[in-house]
Amino acid sequence: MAVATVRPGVDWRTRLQDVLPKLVLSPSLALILFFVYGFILYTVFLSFTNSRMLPSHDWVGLANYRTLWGLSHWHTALANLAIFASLYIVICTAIGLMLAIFLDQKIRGEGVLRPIYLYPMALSFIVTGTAWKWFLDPGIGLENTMRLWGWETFTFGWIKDRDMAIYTIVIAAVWQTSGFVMAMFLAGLRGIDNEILKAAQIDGASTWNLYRRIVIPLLRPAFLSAFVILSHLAIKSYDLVIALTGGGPGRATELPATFMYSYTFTRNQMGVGASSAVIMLMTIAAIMVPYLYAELRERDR
Amino acid sequence: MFPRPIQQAPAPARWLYAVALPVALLLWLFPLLGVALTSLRPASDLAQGNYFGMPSAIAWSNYVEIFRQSPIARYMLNSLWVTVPTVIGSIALSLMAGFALAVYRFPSNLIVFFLFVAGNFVPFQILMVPVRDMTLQLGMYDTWYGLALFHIAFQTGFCTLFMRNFIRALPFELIEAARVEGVAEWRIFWFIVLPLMRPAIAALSVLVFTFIWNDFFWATVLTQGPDTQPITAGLSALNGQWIAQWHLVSAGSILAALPPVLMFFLMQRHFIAGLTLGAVK
Repeated sequence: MAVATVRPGVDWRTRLQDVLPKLVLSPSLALILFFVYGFILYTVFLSFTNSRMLPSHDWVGLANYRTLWGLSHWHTALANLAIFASLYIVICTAIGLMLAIFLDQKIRGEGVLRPIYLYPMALSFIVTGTAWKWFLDPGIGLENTMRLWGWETFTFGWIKDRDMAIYTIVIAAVWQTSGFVMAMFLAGLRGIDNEILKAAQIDGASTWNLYRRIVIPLLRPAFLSAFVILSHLAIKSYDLVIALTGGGPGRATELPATFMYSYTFTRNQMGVGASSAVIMLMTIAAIMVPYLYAELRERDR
Repeated sequence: MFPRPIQQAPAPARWLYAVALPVALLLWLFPLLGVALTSLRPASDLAQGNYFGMPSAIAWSNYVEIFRQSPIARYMLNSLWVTVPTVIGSIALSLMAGFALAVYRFPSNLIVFFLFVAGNFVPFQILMVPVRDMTLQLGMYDTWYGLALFHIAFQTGFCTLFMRNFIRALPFELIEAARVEGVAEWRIFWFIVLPLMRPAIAALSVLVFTFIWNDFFWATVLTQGPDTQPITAGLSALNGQWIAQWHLVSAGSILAALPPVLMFFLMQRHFIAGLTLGAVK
């Protein structure tokens, strides 16, 4: 009897040890399974229904996708995303790399400079958008100031110009994120083995060649993560457009993210909105999944 | 040694530095400085078209004015009410999940980890309709806890990735040694792992605080009206009301920017470590 009462006690402890990992994992896993993956499935489902103002469960097959691809509005959003994302990624990476290399020259003020380039990341675009909107506005911003200073013919009205407005979004977005890309490259640069560089220098490599042939190829992982993160940020961009142009003038700066919001809540075409969100998700997944798969495989061999 | 200090570089390179540096700095600081300057400009300056020059007087009264004319104090408080529970909740959850994923080997470990990481990159737009629908049905629409709950759910992925990688980098022998001594697992977590996690907790708190404080998307989807709207959504609403009153808009923006910027400059080492660890690793 005494043995029998001790046994379950031991079992209880060992069993607790066994379930502990599952126990501590389950709340977060439940949250993410339900709120992220469950909701994705629900939105995918909604994209096949005739939901308008409220979710409805009437199956309509691919009708929403057909409507979506027939809308010139959606094509505008996609074309804008293509311009925005490609310029944003290329310019951010270039400026980030340049800043990182400049900051890596053992300069005295690095501790002061680094946070200054990075601080825009800590701010909401609703805040910094105020400044950019004001700076870009021809009536009160740069154009007006240049004219007051005597340059009468100076014009800078991109934000009011249908063809150029999207580039103002690029400028503001680059300003916000390139410091972050810089921090990523800086971490990469600091991780490079100095011995290799010293050896190359002793062999007489010029600084230019050193960067072109050794440093930049060694930064490949940083380039890859920068690309993945920037493309993901570009597809999600929402605050930026709302704060700066609200999608206008006309639809000149509409992006899929703003398209989705306005179709779902303002135009009461939830089905079409859901199908556009599904396309956004698939675009991100096409970039992310192979990357994450390769990363995780490599790390956990 | 490489790279060499810039002081040893040839003269043109040094000149370039001396010029490029202040220009770049100005470019980066300009938006914040511009807003700060405008927030102290008397309204009469703006009426006269003095947008960029020195203010004719320092008008601290703008700040008094926005508190009097708008519910900005309420907005800030709402933000705090959403942000603080989110930081605590997501860090507590991710500490546990990260510990489990880093320390125990079980068959689905990698798949679960992948779910956490991938969940991080999901565009919020695809979750928007169900989230709003659910908050409406649960009566959580337009409440601070509804917003906080969803923030916790969406931050957990990122936080878990971060914590797991951090715990992975700790010396595993420490845990093994404690196990050999027969220390219970929860005591290992509490007395050995947790104290070593302090830098990670600090970094993540700063990051999550700024993410949530600056969130605009969920704030517009899940709240309306000054009783629950956080500062970002509130500011956006005020922007619509104060059309030409740039001095008030700017003062509001500075107030909204203050907490995350202070956090950032005070804890910048943690912030940078957090961003790069979350991204590169």
